[in-house]
Amino acid sequence: MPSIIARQSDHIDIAELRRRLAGRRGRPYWRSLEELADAPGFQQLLEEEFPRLAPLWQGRVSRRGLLGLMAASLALGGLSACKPQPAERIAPYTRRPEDLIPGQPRWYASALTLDGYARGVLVKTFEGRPVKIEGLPLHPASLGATDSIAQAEILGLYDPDRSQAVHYQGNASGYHVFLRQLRARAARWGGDEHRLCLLTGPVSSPSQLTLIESLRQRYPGLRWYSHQPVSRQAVYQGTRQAFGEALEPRYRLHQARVVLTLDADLLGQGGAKLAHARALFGGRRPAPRGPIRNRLYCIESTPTITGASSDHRLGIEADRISAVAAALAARLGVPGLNNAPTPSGVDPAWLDALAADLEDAGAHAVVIAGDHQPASLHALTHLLNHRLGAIGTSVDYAEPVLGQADGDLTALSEAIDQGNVDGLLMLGTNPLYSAPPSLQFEQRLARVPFTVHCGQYRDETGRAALWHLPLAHPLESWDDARAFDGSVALMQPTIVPMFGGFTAQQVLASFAGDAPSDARQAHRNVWRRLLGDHDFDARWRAALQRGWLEDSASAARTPTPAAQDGTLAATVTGLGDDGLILQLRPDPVLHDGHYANNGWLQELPRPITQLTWDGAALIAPALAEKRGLREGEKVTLALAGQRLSVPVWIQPGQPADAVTLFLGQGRRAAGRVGNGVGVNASELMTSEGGYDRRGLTLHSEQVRWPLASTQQHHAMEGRDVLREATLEEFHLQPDFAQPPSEAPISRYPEHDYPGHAWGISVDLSSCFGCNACITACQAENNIPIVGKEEVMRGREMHWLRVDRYFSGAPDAPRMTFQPVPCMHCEKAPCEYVCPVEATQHSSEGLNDMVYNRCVGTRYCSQNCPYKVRRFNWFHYTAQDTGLATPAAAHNPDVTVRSRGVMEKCTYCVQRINQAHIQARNENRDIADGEVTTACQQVCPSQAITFGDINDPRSAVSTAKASPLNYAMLGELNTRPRTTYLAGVRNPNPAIDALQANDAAGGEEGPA
Amino acid sequence: MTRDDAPLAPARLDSATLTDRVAAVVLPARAPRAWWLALLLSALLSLLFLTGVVYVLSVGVGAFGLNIPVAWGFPIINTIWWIGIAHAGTLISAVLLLTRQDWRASINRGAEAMAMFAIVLAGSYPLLHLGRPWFAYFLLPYPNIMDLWPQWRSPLVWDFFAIGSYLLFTMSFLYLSLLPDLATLRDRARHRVQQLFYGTLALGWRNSARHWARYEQANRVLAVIAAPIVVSVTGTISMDLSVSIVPGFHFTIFPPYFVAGALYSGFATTAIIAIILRSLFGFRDVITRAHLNRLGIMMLCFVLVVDYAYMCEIFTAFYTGEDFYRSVYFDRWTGPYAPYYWGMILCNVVLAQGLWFRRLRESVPGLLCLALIADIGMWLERFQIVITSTHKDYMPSAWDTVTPTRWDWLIYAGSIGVFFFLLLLFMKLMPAISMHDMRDMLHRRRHRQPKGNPRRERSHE
Repeated sequence: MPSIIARQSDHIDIAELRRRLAGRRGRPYWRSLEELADAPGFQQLLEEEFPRLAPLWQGRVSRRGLLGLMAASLALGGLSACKPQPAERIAPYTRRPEDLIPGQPRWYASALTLDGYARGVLVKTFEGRPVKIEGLPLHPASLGATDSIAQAEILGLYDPDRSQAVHYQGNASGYHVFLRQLRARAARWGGDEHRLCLLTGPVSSPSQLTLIESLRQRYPGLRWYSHQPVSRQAVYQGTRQAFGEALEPRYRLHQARVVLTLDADLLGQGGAKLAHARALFGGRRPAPRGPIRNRLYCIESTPTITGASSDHRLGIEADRISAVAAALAARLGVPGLNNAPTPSGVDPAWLDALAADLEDAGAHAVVIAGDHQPASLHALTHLLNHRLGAIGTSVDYAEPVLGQADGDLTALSEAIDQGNVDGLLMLGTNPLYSAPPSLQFEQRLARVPFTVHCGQYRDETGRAALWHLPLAHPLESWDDARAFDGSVALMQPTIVPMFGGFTAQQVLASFAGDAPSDARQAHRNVWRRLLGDHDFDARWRAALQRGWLEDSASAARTPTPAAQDGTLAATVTGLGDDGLILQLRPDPVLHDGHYANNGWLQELPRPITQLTWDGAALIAPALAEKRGLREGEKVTLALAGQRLSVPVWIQPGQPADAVTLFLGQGRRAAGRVGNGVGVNASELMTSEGGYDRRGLTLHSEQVRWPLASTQQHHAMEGRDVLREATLEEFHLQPDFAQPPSEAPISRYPEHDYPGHAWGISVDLSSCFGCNACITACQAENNIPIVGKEEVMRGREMHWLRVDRYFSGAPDAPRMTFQPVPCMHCEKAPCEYVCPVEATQHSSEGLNDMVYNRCVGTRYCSQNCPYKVRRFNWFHYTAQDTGLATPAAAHNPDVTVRSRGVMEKCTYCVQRINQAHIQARNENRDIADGEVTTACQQVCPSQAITFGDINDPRSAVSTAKASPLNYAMLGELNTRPRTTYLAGVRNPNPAIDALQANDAAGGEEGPA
Repeated sequence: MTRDDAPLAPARLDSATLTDRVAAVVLPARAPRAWWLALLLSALLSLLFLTGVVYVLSVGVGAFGLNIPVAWGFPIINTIWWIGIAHAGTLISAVLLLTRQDWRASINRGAEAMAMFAIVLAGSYPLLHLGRPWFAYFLLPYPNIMDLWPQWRSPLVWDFFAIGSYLLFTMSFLYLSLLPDLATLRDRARHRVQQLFYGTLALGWRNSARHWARYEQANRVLAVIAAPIVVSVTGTISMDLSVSIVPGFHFTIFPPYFVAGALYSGFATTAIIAIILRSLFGFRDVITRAHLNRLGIMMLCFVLVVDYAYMCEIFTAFYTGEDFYRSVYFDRWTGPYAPYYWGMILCNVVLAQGLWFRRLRESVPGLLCLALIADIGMWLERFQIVITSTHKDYMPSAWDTVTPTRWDWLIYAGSIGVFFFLLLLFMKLMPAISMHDMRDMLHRRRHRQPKGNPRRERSHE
């Protein structure tokens, strides 16, 4: 203590004093408060921390006075707990609003953003409580579908670990105190000497961009920096190189016959993934003699769902993809690249065939580069598309969707070093977690006198900042955002901010000097500026109801690339170095780590690896063999002086020298669910940027780390549970999926279905394995999460799983997906073995589970050949366990199951019953398509069809009439209601012939 | 059954000395030190059992090493194991009575007590197995406002009745055969408490000829009823497995296979108890090497049937031509649970062949080892049937393994403790050797009465 106190400077290190107080071992208490109070340092701390308490401490308080004070505090304490509410007209609930029926859901159109890109959603609320999110059918980035992250936002909304209060120096404080300090500080930010800086994530919101502009007007010295852990900057730089300006490429894949991706995870990442999935895989199934409308080639550095679903896949290290593209460009005659060599490991004939296919498709071909690939590759793809004539047909360009900031985190660090950053507002970004360690951003941040962090969580950055303000959840906020095509979606709150969060508009407005307490007003104020005063209310309401502004998509542009000199050729033809390459990718479900505290996402199996909770470094089977590494073995990765200890996961299809690590894990201050799960991959990032870097070293630590995968066995063992063929095979033998023998007979009497008979058809040609259905099912049916330990013991509760099988060579496997819900068998093996009749056949053919009758013998699961039943081994839904879904997030239409009860997919029976009631009230029959299951509704490629199989004209009956229709394990005579349409792929016959030749010649082809 | 000349009892033993000796174990307050030690050990194990049960009932069956796909584990394995052990008791007291094997006289009481306690344990495991044991009565066809009966097609309901009727039968059989001996103890007891205790339990048995006639009648009726139960209970339990469509469960050979296995382990456990009785209370001359020999022969008979069943099962799996059945066998031989399978083969096929040797059968350590091997082998057999069948069944994507938890082992070990705790108490409180059956046998021997004469003369005190 004395060392600190003795420093009698006017700049006392309060933070250090507190640290010393907190961090003392040996002598945990002061001997007396006076010992500390006597010290001048303490006096100063007291004054700064509790300005109103300081005189009290110094003065003498009588016993009577103290008692009086305490009584007054007690009496007034209740008052100060109340949050001042804005004066609004409220209506008592005793007089029910006309259109509000308790128990009936209400739907609100809104939008959710991912990396700044909007996906339109519909939010289902019960009595003002949001419980489920669906896609907004007309919205271009949703088309009625959503992804897992959007589904899981419901859980995020009710997350008790979200920031609940304004914090000043780590202690709870008040908004008004912040505003007072801000006003005092803001007086200094007029010029360039003491500057206000703004650090945000990717921003597309017109209202936020407007407010940033008004901040610029107020503080001419303002600099806006944007920190994007999953960056789109290479895309914009690529268009700058090709066209001379930053543009947003928009791929119109419904126009494309041949699609080539160069490390672009079209279906798993990006603001347009849902639209891409619909365009590529929606209704892809061919008619018996018909064609498949597109063919997808993937050249990728790590297995993704895009590559897994493609017709041809080539795995190659990330830094060699440019060279492959250059070799392709040479074949297509792109000027300046005539002499690009074919990289080793790539079959020239394969590239020839690909080039010929692209050439053949012409304007209906498109080449797409991944966001993390260098700008030069992006530029090259634009040249290729131009060469193919695709610009204007299968790709067009528009104004960038994301606002273009003045710089990135590196630029901000430089600005801080120059010493004129006085105030820093960090809005919705968490640089202390995701910044490369070489930036030493934490130390730099400490040098900024006035730092304000505004985020949904008091995360790593929120804890380091001087001020932390809670940011409202998107479902609590008035906001807006642009979709990938530039159209503007409006976000409206579905619930009052539960923890008193502020919207981004409110915070930006408070910096601009006006601090509206009402978020709605703040939002309207901005929109009045955007829409104009004329008929503003009506137009605003119409936009709100619709969810987005129609015709607001940016105008399409079809620019012509400027003539390229040799510089592009020089940058793209490099073959890369040797040695291991580290490839950093956004986590398929946690993304950049913002969603790390979301249990639904943590426990969602990552597509391809099927890993839940903490991830691993993906390595190729060849590398594992070479280094003698086993699955889950911990290794030390070292790159550019940084080290990271991480378990490995042997991933078939991974390029031999590539080590892939996912961002978004290893959070320190995410919350109770996400803390300490996995390792933070950004610790291996370097400040030069780039997600791929050679020179990685890998050393085994000779210890194993348990990893929780939901699928232990990855080969199909020659069993035909999943049936698949190429288009050619399908044309030769349209009934390839049909079993060779007749269906066996049953001695039990048949059920009679006078009314409806529900069934599902899953189209394996369309399923691309995004796993959104799993989260949708989880949200709809109140499915608990169980934690990593329980997943490792094989006790995950997902009613719907998406199986992934590998076939072929481990270095270039074929990957196929198969969603497996309950089969609802006609002759259900589970029904006759249940001693208490807790699982029953319904009059509509559903295999019902009667939870309150179940005693938990688990015989049904033992006898289920599909193993789709799930058991509550413990009381997973008990509200006092750390992982339980908050009761408020539960769907009130679905029973919350207790311990000891079996559960499984019900075909969303609550939705069927809702439709029954509705139809009966309106005295009609249930129409086809009126009932959708949660998995069906969320599916981006519409792979799942649900309906009445008694009705021969229903969509599901039509699908089941296809020759591709087959029953999984049909030979067991279970007669499943869930059937599959065998997958048909569309490989290039020329490449297939090539590989057949190779196989005959005893050589392995590259793909 | 081999006939041999080894005496089943020493020539000088008469009715009076036998009764004296058996009563002298029960009536005095003193007990051998070894008995106290064994009781203490088994009491400690029983406490572990209680701890485990309380824990599982309070947190849920997740405490066991179970998952989807392997949703059945130790509770089911141990149910089958214990019910199998119980079987020899019934066989000895019913079938050997009907077939007039008089060597059963000295061991039938022990075997019946063994059956009784084994059934209690076999019946408690299904309760522990249930997800919601407090609703176990849903399996009963009790009247309720929903008019809902149990699912009669489910083997678990059959099971419930099988175990229930078996428990009732064993209880009545044991108690009935105790009645004359309880009366003897009542008459010999000097302490008031003992007099009241045995007097109440003896239900007024006065040793009259009419009592004996009724007793013989009831005993034989019960025996006739019991004989089919020997086959039906384990047969029914085996249907829990064979009625399902799980490859590895679905075999028509299961009922006879399980009965043979049950009797094998049951005779093994009877041998263990006979050895304990011999060693603890000095009944070496009453439970002789000839008895051990015969128990060994019974074990050998049934283990050969079991071995035949193994072969038959493998043949069936491959003869069906079904890939699913074959791969279950390949997995049992080479998969993660292969040690259990080969352990079973070692115990039940290889080491069990030691039973062919009379010298081993008649030696106490030899037979004890063989009996322990038999019990271990039969437990391994149930383990590999229950666990390995579903862990790799139809859907490769759902394949998974389970590891037994500490609670699995704790409750299993604890249940053995409970078994011996109850058995040791029984041995001290009740005549562990049936006095009246022995007197009957001695009398018959002395008078060289031809076997099967229903007229009996009782020696009176």
